[in-house]
Amino acid sequence: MHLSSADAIFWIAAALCAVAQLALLHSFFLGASRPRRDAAAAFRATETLWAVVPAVVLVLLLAGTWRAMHGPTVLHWAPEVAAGRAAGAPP
Amino acid sequence: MTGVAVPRAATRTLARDLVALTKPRIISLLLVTTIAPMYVAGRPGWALLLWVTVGGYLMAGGANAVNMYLDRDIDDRMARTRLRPIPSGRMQPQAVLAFGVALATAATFLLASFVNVPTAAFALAGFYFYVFIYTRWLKRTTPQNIVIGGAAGAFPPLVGWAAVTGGIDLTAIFLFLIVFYWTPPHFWALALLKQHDYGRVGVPMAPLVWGERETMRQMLWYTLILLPLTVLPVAFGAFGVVYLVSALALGGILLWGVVRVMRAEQWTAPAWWVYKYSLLYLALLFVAMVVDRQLAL
Repeated sequence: MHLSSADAIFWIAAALCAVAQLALLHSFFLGASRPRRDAAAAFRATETLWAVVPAVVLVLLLAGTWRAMHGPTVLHWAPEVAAGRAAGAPP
Repeated sequence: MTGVAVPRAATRTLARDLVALTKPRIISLLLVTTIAPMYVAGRPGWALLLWVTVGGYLMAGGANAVNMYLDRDIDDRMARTRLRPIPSGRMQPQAVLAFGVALATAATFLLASFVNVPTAAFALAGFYFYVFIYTRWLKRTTPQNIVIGGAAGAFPPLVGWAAVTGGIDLTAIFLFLIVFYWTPPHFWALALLKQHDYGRVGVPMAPLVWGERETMRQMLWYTLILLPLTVLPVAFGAFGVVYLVSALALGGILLWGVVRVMRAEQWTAPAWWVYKYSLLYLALLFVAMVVDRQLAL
């Protein structure tokens, strides 16, 4: 199977991101940066949110990158484009 | 003669304080991450460049002034901040708040009128994020304050990009996230050095809550996410070889600096080095993007 240099960059970068992000999540849920057990439930919930949101964003970014590399369209958002599409105009 | 000299001196001091409220040294890096994306996104004219620079400075300056207003109760107890205009008694808090809001209002009007509405919206979002999410909420409640709060400093690339294209795309989102993931290793290097100051005023910075070694480990993990993020835009054709080589070299040096902090018994000097180099790193990375794009044209 032929692996292009762009694909190689993607997979190496994605693997590095995944390892580092998993290490951050491990530290939060099981390691030194986990919230104290006696902390308020609301505090623990928001702390969990802050730990998880960047990981989710990273996954979405990698998916978006893969789509930009291999998908039919390039992601672009601008108000006038969005308004035009909503009105049924061709993109 | 004396009657004229005194008001002049007072005016000069006031002018100096007003400039100090905007934190011009911090804004200089924000402007690099605003203007460089403009040249990556297209070929901005001088007028557009001028309006974005002025609007960007005013918005960031306004946010910094409001930040000094909100942090006035702790600034006078920290060595790093006690000479600021409010804790030193040279300016009234309400005047500083009014000044900050006025700058942000002027910036919004300027950017919306002379650039475009998305640019003004992104700049204003950065202002609100910095003032309300970071300063008001996260800074004093969580050791993850600068991780999530770091998003405030990541808005400038979106501002610059939207100024040229009228919107954002995947490359702009990458620029946003590069600044986002750059912030923890950059700011925690400073937090390691100033942790006792933060501890005195009850700000839960990571080294105080998690410990120094865990903070250093997290600096490493964030750097290990940052480096691939800087390279990934090459994979979908946003940048070429010049940028790729620059990103790898600059990032490699940053990684080496962070590892040096982790391995050092006396980590003060290596942490200072990482703090200072990370500033240079971000500026040079964005310059490399521009050079790469200009060479490709």
